[in-house]
Amino acid sequence: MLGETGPLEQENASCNPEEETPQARYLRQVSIWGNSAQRLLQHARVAIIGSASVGAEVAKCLLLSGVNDILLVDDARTTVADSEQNFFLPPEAVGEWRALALAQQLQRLNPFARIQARVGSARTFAAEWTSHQRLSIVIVTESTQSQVQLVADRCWEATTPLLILRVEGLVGYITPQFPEQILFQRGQHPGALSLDCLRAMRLIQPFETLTAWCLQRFWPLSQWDEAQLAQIPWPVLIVLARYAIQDESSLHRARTWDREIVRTQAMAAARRAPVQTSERNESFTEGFVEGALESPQRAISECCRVHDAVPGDERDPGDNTDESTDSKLQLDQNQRAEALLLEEIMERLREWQTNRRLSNWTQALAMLRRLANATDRMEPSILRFPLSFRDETMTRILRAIRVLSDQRGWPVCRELDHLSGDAVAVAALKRLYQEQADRDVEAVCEFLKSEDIDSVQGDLIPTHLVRRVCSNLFFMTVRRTRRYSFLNGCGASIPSNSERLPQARRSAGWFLALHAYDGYQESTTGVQGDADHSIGLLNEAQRLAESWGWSSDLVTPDHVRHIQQTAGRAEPAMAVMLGALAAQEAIKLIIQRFEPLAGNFGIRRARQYGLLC
Amino acid sequence: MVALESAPPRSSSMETRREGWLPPKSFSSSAMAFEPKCDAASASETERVARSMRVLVAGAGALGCEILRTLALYGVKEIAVIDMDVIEESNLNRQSLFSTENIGQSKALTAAAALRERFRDCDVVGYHAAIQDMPLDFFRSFQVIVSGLDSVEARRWLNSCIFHIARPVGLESARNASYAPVLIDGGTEGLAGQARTIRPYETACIECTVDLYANEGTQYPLCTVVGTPREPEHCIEYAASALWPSQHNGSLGPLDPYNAEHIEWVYGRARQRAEQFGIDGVTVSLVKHVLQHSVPAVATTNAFIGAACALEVVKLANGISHPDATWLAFNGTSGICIQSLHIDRRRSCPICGPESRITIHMSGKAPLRELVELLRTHPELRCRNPSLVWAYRPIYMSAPRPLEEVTRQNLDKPLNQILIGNQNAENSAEFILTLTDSGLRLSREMHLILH
Repeated sequence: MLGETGPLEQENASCNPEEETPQARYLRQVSIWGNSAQRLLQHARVAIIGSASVGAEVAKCLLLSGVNDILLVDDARTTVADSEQNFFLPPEAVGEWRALALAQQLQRLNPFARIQARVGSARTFAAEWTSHQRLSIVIVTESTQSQVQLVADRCWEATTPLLILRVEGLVGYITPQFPEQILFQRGQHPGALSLDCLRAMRLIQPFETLTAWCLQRFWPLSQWDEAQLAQIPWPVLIVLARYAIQDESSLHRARTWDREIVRTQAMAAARRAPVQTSERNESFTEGFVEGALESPQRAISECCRVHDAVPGDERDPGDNTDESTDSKLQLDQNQRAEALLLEEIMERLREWQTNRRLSNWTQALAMLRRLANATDRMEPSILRFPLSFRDETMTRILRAIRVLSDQRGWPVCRELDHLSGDAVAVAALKRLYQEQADRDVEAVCEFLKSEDIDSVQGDLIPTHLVRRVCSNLFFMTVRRTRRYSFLNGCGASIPSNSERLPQARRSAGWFLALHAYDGYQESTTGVQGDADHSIGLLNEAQRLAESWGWSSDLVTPDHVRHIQQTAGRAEPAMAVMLGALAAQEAIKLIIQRFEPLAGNFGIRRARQYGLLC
Repeated sequence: MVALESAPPRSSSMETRREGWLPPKSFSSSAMAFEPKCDAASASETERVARSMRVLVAGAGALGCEILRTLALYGVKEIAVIDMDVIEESNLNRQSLFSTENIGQSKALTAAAALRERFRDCDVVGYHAAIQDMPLDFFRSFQVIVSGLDSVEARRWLNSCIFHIARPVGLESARNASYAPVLIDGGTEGLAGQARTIRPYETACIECTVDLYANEGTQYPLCTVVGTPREPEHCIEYAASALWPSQHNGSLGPLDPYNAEHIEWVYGRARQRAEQFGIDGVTVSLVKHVLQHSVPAVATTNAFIGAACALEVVKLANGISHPDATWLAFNGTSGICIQSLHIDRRRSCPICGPESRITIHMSGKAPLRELVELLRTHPELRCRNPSLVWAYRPIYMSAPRPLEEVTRQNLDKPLNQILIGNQNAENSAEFILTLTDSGLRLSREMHLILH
């Protein structure tokens, strides 16, 4: 294939996305996902295979949203039909390479963007794409079955998210594939404190400077009159109550308090559980106390031994059943200790409250109650499960945080949410959190540097990534999809309760019919409107359903007939709609915010829809 | 969200008369001919039918651009687009027909020019004007009006306009009423959006579900803002509209909602005022939100909803529009969620409800101001500029200005001093007032019962 040069260029320049300021252009969307997400978007690199109308619509949405680096891969020349269906291929472009013409036309939408075009097929792309070329996401809009599989395999190996898109007439689907995707999610409403926000504030296990500041500034409370008391920010009240429970001498003990309970319980459990299990627990707790900093190797190996006890790569981290019995026991114990402590703090606050009805008191109590009512432990959810991500850097950072957490506590969240009360005190409190967050990041970076592991040099782990993980630790989750495999239902599956989900069944029918049409078209020519072909198509779809282990009554003659009649026909609205949806999913995966589509999405005609999960 | 299956009576102070309610006959029979089995066949004629339509696109913002683009791709030849705004830099993250060099130009004219350049045979006319300024006959010349407007107020205006041109005026015209415009309304906020089809007297109109829309920042009643603020928004509005002009005497020019210093200033004053009245919740982001009246907007949601609106036009042209599920709701925050819903018409709808009457109970001692306030905040009415006439006597006229000045003094008088009627045995009296609203093209009979 000939064409313009400049195919997949190596992009190794590690740009620090913390530095730039967003432009007025993106003002209206920054309010949804924030500045840091916008910067990620502006540093993303996206490959789009296929330059027909769907591909063009995806590229359009991404360019408008601020993606500045796009690679278009296509191997066809513009036809008259293209110029009628694709808004971005005007009649003048007929005869030119589609990818080149499109790149030229799209430039207008985002003057800062670098749009590259490669004349070639999905196979060319897969062959030229080497693993050290960073791609944020790959979107396949047009290709043959075997080539899609090829790209999907390459993406799976490279841990690059992939979206497969297909529109035919009024029918279409989006199939996502990502082996693992770490998401940073905050509460949707900045005013409301989520449970995770509360945990990230670490009021129950306050850091030293916070306790010291609270004591120095507000202790004892008896010196303030009512109006002044009402001005104390509520977190301070919790910290003070926590302090009042233990005097100075026992404050030190409080840090190991929880662990002691665990240990005694573990001893008790040893009588019931196999011997190794309890020993493992012992070494786990001991290992941290004896200065993990001096021998990070050991701490890590201990840490991994306990937490990777259950190997599980494919497992969903939201699934609680995976835990072995001993860790479950330990979990229960920790939780009980926390609950006791919370009760005590609440009790103390109520004592102080006496007959005053101050809003900050009420709020502090409400927050404590929310923590007490939470069903799971206070530690970040991402660290409750085996830490073996494909992303080695992320794994290392998280492991370091876990090792350090026992000495320093969990890293605090940098941004404190809205607090009311005395403005000076609130500002000081926010500054304290920022300083502590910086210290935490520094400590993690130091630890990473002191480690001696061959694969990723500790020095090479970027500080901004560590900062991002630290300040989002409590908000992180992991999502996975199945691997795309045409022989195995394209990674899709029918929900087990599909009998009660007519949309899912309908959507599965369209999915089958569309795949059967593709397969049939590759082998035969001219399938439109012919009754013989209609039967052949139905048989093909049913054969496909059987080989995927789906029920063959999902696809009906109606599906097949509709596909036959509408296939190959231009439905501009469908291309725009599905293109926009795919672009939205791509953005979510790039900025690692919001819940991405993790199953198969089938759409037909906007009014009849369905989800295959 | 809100249960849409039926519209229950919402307010105890307002009743609706149920008798005489009949489902109206279809004005446009073609719109009802939905047969799922034949849609594949008719899809082949999609473009041919769509080409003969005359479509008005109200609003050339993000939705407008997508609607125009998609309609043109379908081959619709006669399109008009109307918008009063000019292109700003913050529009460029989603409005696909504009680019940097268009900043400062009219949205409608630029969009029309861009479309004409791409499709030589497409007859697109742009109007740089507010929809409210166009004569009714202008709207009458279109079969379908697609709206991608940015305010609830403009939507309500357009909605009532559709009903004005659809409403049969006399017996003769009712018999020949073959023309009924259809309104297709799209709206987005962040990653969520909706598109709905309004066929007059067949499906629920904007006014039927007006309580679903959030209150707009511009509509805080001034007397509340000045006298008795209750919400943090009131304090911000006060700081911006009352304190800013008085303190700066125009030295800093008008308030710029995008200027950080100005925002900080308003924030400080609003905080002070909020503290005076014991109101909590004034934040910088809320200040920005109130001042800029802006909702978050992205390219993707707008493209999806815009294309959905355009597809609806094409389906309408082909008679395969779904008769019941007229509301498409979309949410992209968590996976992709698309729902199509049916909304019942509201029988007491002031625009399309059949002869419903408004009944309001009030104390006779309450001042007229309270009644006016109630009309403004009432969830089913949400009047903009209510005017009240009783027995050919203006009680309160919000427009024109001289009349407002004359009738303003009535505002502080108790109702039983203004409306002097026959007090009956139960010590309550019923008055029939005419309620009109120049902002919404509304004219209704209102029964006021004083206790």
